[in-house]
Amino acid sequence: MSVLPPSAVRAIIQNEWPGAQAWAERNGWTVDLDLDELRLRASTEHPAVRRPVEFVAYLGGYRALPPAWHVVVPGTDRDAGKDDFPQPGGPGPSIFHGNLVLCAPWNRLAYKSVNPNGPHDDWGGPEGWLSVSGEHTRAHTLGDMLAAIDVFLQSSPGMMA
Amino acid sequence: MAVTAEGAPGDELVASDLEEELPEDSPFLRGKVFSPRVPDGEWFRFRKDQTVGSAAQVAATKFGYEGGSPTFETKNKVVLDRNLTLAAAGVHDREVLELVDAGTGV
Repeated sequence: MSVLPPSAVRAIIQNEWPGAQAWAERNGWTVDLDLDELRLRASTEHPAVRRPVEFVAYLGGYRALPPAWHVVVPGTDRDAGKDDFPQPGGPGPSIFHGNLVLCAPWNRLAYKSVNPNGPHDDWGGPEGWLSVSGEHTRAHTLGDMLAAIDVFLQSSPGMMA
Repeated sequence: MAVTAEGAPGDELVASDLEEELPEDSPFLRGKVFSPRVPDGEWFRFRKDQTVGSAAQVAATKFGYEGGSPTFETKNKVVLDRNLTLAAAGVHDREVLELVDAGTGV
């Protein structure tokens, strides 16, 4: 598995960060980047049920590897259960998967080779995340990923439970 | 301020083009498009009969995107159907739009 040194990862993130931060400000998200820990925390309000929803991305190895996106219990680092995980909704398939995983090529945890709950063993390994083809959501920067999560969140009717 | 002509990313119009009122029967509209990749938006000029997908592709190319299924999202968080024309999608002159991807999950 490809590994980028933390200094290279930080340089990539710092390059992307102004766009992501500006997107968050325009769209009512709160984002907090910890460059020492290579961790991004992003939160907003679920539009349908007006409850906080929070995501944490672990960025080690980015962009040789996609981030590991977790939906978490707000204010914690604990993975969300059904009470805090958005329900899928909308006209097409959602990234909010019943396995409580964000199902997208840009999430390291969507790959079964990384995560037993990852739905996909048909995308190759996470090293190939930038070239996964098909109709899947495509997001190649942190800002793109936040925007993609927000799009699917807008059509989510509530939480899983 | 960069204003891009429809179908020709990079063509800049002068700022006064944004100040003038377009006649109602103008075939064009102007939109300010934001991308999550950079802090500042860019002004584009599109044809009203251009599809949302085509217009979004012009903007996406300008912002450095390759591939995907770009579309626009309105300030009210409505993701526009890529197959509709801008006019049919209700896009109006000087509208502010977010560039998003229309790909699916799962």
